[in-house]
Amino acid sequence: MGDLRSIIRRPVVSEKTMALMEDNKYTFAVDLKATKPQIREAVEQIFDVKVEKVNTMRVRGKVRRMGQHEGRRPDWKKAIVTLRDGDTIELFEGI
Amino acid sequence: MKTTLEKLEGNQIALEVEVDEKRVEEAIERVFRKVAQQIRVPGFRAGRAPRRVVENRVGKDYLRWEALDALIPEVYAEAIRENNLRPIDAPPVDILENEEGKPVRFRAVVEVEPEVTLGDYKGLKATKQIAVISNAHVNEALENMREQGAQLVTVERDEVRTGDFAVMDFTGYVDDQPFPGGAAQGHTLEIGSGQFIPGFEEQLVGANTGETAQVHVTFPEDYGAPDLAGKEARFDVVIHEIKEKKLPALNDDFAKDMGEFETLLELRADIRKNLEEEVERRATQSLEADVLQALVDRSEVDIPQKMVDFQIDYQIRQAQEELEMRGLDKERYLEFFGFATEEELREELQEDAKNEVKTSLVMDAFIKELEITVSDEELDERITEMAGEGARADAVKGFWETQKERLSSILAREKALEILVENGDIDEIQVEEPEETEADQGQEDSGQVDAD
Repeated sequence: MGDLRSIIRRPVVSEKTMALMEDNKYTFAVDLKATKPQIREAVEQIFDVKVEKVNTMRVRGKVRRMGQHEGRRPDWKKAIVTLRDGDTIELFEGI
Repeated sequence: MKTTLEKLEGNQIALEVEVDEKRVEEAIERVFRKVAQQIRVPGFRAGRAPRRVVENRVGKDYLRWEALDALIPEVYAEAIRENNLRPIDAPPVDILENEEGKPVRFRAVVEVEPEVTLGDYKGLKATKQIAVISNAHVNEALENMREQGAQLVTVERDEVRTGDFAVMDFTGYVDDQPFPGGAAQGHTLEIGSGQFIPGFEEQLVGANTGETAQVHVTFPEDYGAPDLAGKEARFDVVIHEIKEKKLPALNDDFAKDMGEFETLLELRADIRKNLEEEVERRATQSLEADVLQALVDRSEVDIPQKMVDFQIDYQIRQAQEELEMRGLDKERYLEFFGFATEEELREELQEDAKNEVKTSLVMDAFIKELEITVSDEELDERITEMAGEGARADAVKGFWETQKERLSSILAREKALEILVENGDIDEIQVEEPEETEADQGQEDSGQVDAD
């Protein structure tokens, strides 16, 4: 996990995260084991911005069934990163 | 929107239109909203996905082209209207410039209706032929009415004669085998009407009721059922009853049955009036057509082949629709016209179509030249008149309310024709005998009106 790019998995794009971007808050799916300092470091390096605050949460995978077989999607970690005023991330090139 | 016009040769006009980026952007925005409603983007409710997200999903170009698809015809129509052009046909459009953030420019080469050099519309020579209605015509109409009121009456006679109506059973055999559709019971056949295969009715003349008569016939080669065509057949026929047609007597009672008449004289007067009106109407119609044709002949137009082709297309389509309406195969229109190939048919229709196109161009030019207009009052008056009083008056009215533009051009044409006739050099002549077909037509018409 030494690589910064393996910490940040992908941006989370939804109505809600788009709304958060108004407040300069960007949402990412990150590695389950990533810590807030690691996430801060990764975002600052990759996007060349200054991070004010990192909030994280574990998202429990949803239970899905295929007939009789019960399965569960993997858990993941969501990170909401607040940037310094004026900084932005263009993260829509490849959605 | 900015438009530049450039006149090219042969009634062609090059139209260059520039649409500013604001209008293009609005069009794209409209398309985006529509597309956003239709596609599902994970994480967004339908229609809530922002523009950038939708663009990434369907492609930026897609939105742009969809927008131009709708925008260009709209802008083109505006350009046509603003410059008062009358295009013959929708031209291909070349897009000259189409870049984001810049105005869109496109070019279309439009073929427009040609200029008409109108001939002098005064003193057009034509003849109005008014048929004189004679007593013979009235009698003929009366006879037709009697025929329609005729009844079949059983006669006490055994032997069949030509003109009788025979009520009979028959069974047909080919090679001593009955065949489908070859038998009937209680069928009424008019002897001598030619309804059955040739020879059948003739052989029944002289047959007696109650006896079995044998009829030997050969089906014609072109008979409808192919498996019977050309075959010899025998029919066993039993005649049950002989009827004769009995015409109502021609007297005042007959007149009363025919409507609001007290006497036969009144009925005759009414028939005469109807016939005369009909004749007058036809004469006027044909006079108007002649006068218009005379004006067309005096005028000059460089008729575009394209318009002629469209006219021919239209005629063919009409024929096809007519065939379809009669429940026939519309692909057999060539047969309908009596031609082997479409090229031959088109060639044949060429001259008429040319004249048709020229007439319509001359008519439009004439209406424009004389500034013939139709007022709203005139339109309303005509609509009310056409709607009448009946149960469907409102429906008829409603229909024409939506067709005012069309009606207005019809009324303008009527006015134009009146002006041509008023200013024409018209000879009126009385014709003793109207043409056979016309007379028949007129009588049938009046007969039906009276029967109602």
